[in-house]
Amino acid sequence: MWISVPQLKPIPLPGSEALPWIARGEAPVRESVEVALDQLAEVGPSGPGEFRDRVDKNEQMLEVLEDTLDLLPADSGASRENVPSIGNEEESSPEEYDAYFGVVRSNNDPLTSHVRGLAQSYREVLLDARHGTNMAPPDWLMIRRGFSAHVNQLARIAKEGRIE
Amino acid sequence: MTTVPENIQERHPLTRWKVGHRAFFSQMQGAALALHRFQDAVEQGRLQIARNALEDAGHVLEGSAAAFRFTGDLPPRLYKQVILPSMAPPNVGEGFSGLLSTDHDHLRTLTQDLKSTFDTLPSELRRAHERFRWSYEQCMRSHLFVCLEFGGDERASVRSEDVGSGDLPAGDVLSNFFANRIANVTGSETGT
Repeated sequence: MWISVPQLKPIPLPGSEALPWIARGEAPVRESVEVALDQLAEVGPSGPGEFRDRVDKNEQMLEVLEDTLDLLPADSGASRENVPSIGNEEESSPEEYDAYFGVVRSNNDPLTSHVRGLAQSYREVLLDARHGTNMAPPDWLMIRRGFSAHVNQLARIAKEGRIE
Repeated sequence: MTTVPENIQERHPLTRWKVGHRAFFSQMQGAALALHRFQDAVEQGRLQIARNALEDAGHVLEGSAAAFRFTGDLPPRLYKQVILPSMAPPNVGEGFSGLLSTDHDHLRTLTQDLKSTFDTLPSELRRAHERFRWSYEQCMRSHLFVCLEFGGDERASVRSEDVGSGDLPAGDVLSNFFANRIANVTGSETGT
């Protein structure tokens, strides 16, 4: 039996080898943090700088992420053509696992992929939840808090980079 | 008794399954970022940054635990009828399972590497460490909860044979895995 799989827009994420670079704020990546935050700020609905200001102030950053998602420039690494096909291999693989869930990985610009993936994922959760969920309010708060902590640490990496 | 809203069935169950997993992946990456920062900060003796990073990791893991429950928030019969077959041949190759997740594998390896760091953690970080361990355990418990919701107390995992667990129910296999993983982040000073 073949299953008809609903198509979701591919979600960009960096490969695992890129995560230590981001976490350590190594020079090129530190610049990417700045670029990613600036990119979000530039396309923000209320003008440049708002995203960074609100992240720095720890206020409503997730709403800002959601508002700006549709306005972000296209990511060449996340086009549909780059999504591997599935169901053609005898043995499954990490690539097939990513393809099943619609994940596209790029190590060329890992921070941008990371920020875009984060924002897209949060928006998807919000939209899908409108179609029914049993989750109680504390669970929603935990999801939000997780995303929020995630955004904040990215801002902190950038900030620590600036201090150094 | 849990009530399932009817309108969830208007949506393709695979959408919830995928959206939830994608949230889980991005949060796994967030946790990995935080733990890399924690590891570097401890090595450099920068304890305030280490504390912040450990707290970040805990918050993200608690979010991922909630994302897991969100993922599994669909009727068990739809899991059996739609989700399970979609993850089996011919829709995917043999051996398809969460063990193939790049993000999950990275986090698993990272926490193994951090075992010695947790074993020798400065006392100033003990409170943050205890909180992180609790968050990590919540993440494991959420995974187990979803597994049991979908028959994991009776049915063997699709990978049970591969990992030498024979016909053991998936829930038992997961419990054993999780006990080992929690031990990695517990540390000898706060060992249970």
